[in-house]
Amino acid sequence: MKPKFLILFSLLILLILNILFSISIGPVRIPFDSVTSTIFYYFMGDPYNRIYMLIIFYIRMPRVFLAVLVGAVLAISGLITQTIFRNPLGDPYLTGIASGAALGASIGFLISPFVVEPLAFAFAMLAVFITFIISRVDGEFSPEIMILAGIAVSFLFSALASYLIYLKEVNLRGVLFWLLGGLYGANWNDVFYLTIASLILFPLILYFVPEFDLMLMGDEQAKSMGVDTKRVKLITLLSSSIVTSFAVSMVGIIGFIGLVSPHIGRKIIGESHRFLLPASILIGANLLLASDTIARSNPGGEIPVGIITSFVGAPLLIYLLIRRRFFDRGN
Amino acid sequence: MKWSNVLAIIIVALVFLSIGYYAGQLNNHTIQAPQKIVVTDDLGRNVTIYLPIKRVVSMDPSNTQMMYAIGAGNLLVADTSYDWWPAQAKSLPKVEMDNGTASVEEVVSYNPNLVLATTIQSTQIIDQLESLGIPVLVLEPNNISGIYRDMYLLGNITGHKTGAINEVNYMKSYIGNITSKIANLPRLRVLYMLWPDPIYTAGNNTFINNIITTAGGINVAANLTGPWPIINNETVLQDNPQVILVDNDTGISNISYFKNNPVWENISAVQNNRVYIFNQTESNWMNEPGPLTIYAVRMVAQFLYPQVFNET
Amino acid sequence: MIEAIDLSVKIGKNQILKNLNFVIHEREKIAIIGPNGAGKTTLLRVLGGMLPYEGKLIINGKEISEYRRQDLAKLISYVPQIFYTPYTFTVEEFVKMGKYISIRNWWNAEGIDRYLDEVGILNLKARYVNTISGGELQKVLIARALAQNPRIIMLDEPTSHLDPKAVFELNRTIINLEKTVISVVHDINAAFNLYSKIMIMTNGQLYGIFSGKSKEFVDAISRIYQIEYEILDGKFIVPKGP
Repeated sequence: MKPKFLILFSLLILLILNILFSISIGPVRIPFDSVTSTIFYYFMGDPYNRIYMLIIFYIRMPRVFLAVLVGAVLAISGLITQTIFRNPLGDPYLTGIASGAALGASIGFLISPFVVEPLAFAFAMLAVFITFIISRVDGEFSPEIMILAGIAVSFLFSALASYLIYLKEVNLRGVLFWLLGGLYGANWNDVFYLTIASLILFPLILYFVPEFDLMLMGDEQAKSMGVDTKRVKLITLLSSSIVTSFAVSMVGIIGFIGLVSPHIGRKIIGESHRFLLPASILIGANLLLASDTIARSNPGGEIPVGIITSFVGAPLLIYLLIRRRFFDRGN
Repeated sequence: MKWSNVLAIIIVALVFLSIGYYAGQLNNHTIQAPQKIVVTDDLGRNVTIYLPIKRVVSMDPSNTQMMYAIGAGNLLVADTSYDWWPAQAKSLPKVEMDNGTASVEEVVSYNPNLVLATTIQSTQIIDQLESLGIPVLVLEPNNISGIYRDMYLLGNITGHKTGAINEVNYMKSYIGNITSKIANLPRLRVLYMLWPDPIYTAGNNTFINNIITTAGGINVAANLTGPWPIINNETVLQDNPQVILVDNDTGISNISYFKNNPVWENISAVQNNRVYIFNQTESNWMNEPGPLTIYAVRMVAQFLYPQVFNET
Repeated sequence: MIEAIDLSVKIGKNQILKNLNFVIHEREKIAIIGPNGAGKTTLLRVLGGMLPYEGKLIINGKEISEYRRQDLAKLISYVPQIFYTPYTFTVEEFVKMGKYISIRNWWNAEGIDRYLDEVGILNLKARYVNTISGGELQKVLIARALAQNPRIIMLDEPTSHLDPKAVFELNRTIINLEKTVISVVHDINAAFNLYSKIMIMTNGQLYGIFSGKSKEFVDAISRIYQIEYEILDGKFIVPKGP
């Protein structure tokens, strides 16, 4: 097997082990053989420990799979943003998703807790559309303008959200807890819908793998090589924005995964998107899952996962930056 | 002119400016007052207070309530828009609050010689007021005996010593009456829910924990770190609370939130319909350490042990 | 065949190209020459379909603006001025990208060695593009354009970063290409000696189109730069006088 396939395969094995490990640990200590026997008996219809079953099937598993999905979504969006904008600081929230979602959530808490998620999604998409419309130059999205437009829209939306909070009309507690982000209430419903969204939108992004490498050369060169840059940008940015907004509406704003996963990917597997894209997805999933497992297993109560993602991701990135050539990237 | 000269002038100017600034600060601390005492507040700060106290601004409802309870309510010149008890507190002028913190200008405009605050106010506001020569007492008891201590303190400095002693004795006997009724009953595991998703709860060293314990409960979150920890739902499942207390701010309106949920419906409190959702007043009782805390204790005890309390 | 009729280009409010009229035939070797800011690079960009324009610009009987991107890329490839790239692709990967229009999964493309060989960089195949010299990168870019297998190749100052030997080799390569070549050139001697036609541009306008090795071209150049050039041995043009 070629070394790059081997790296991808190792990341996949790592993810599977990570999932098994994460299902078997948590604040409630369940011995590993009890985990396996509970799962086994549950499916065999034999008597099992009911509390263990509930913890494993209704608390840990949905949360573990949601972490994997959200990590994958953030990583793929982060990579798309970095590639399309040719900007190493690109993260999934560059187009205004985070502040849009925050405003939507604030308005949601004003009305009823049950409309928080749909409104967060709707306003995240609204922010994205405004950013897109502003950055159309000669019928095409200009990366330079889009970065600035994203910043402007972000500030505008967060100012509106802050103003609502300032007016005290909003349930302050709810908004603040929501903004911190986390996978606390994960259930099978969340996993189901995010899986469906990913299954629809990921292929739209993965389809453009051949174009992404050429896009790195800049719009003009990509065009001269025959890439329909307008179409690539529109479809991939829109797809990644929709799926990210959906994930954000479920779990709030979790930082750093989208920024750091593609960079780690680049360091270990190189620039070429046919390897980098799957690698980033696997790294993002691994990273968020590991972070969330640490966050929820803290015996003194849960820690917001954003703190852990930074604690895990930042040193990893720094290490890779210092050790420039992590693997030989030659073919 | 050379750049180095410009730089030198700027640096010298800055040095003089900072000397002036710190000298000014020193000056503020040397203002003499007719009579002063030094007291320790709930943050452990030594606060110099000038007597007699004439004008008090309260920046938290719990502090307002303590003042009225000991009979010193007439000294208050302003309080906050959150104040709701007693009725007179609502008609006092308000210091407007930005996100829960007061505006220094408004506080100063009432010319107080004492300000009462909790840690909701930022330390900058407290420092700013003190640099203006206005003493700020931070009163934020984290248990019931802390309420007694703060009431005695307020009684001492406002000249309502007797009022404070009477109020504390009343509270003690009220609570003693409750605890004696439940003394021999089995203690129940209680989950207090400040927010449902994530489940924020009250940790060991909090006022709410003390209310639950006094009312006969065992707070399942008492072993978590920090005052307001997040409790994982699998921990809740394992601890299996027999009673769940739900804060009004959660937006949860009835027990159906807990029913039909694979995790919650397996918890004793939900199965036995022992979920108690506070109304706004009840939430205030739970969250404002002061004279009304006795009602919070009674409310929780009554809910835990309905059999020993007559309907009132 | 490329035909421009009253071709004008505006970028924002600035008129960059004004009423250009010209015809370029199959397999012609065109040099574009002119002072800085004359609109040479803009002309290449509009020919590459990167810019909106007024007037007519017809290639193989069809307006450039009506081409789909991939169809245009099969006709014309564009070699940009060299640029710094931080991206870690190998020379081989980089050149294979040129195969995108023929094989969408270009990394499966084979037979790129001949393009590398044509510009003399077969030995660099496994190197990373961010570790090679500017001159080498220029050759890589040309190899990539060749891999696109277009009918027309446009080059923007292709020899500007190369040493004399490489300039010699590259010029020979360019002239021997069995393609239409449109090249922005700064070296008036190269334009004079190697190209069949020379377009001189000034201030966004076409000053004139001259045949290679013609006295008219030397006269025009002398007028534009206000330096008297003369032909020596029919090969070199040099400034007159001391």
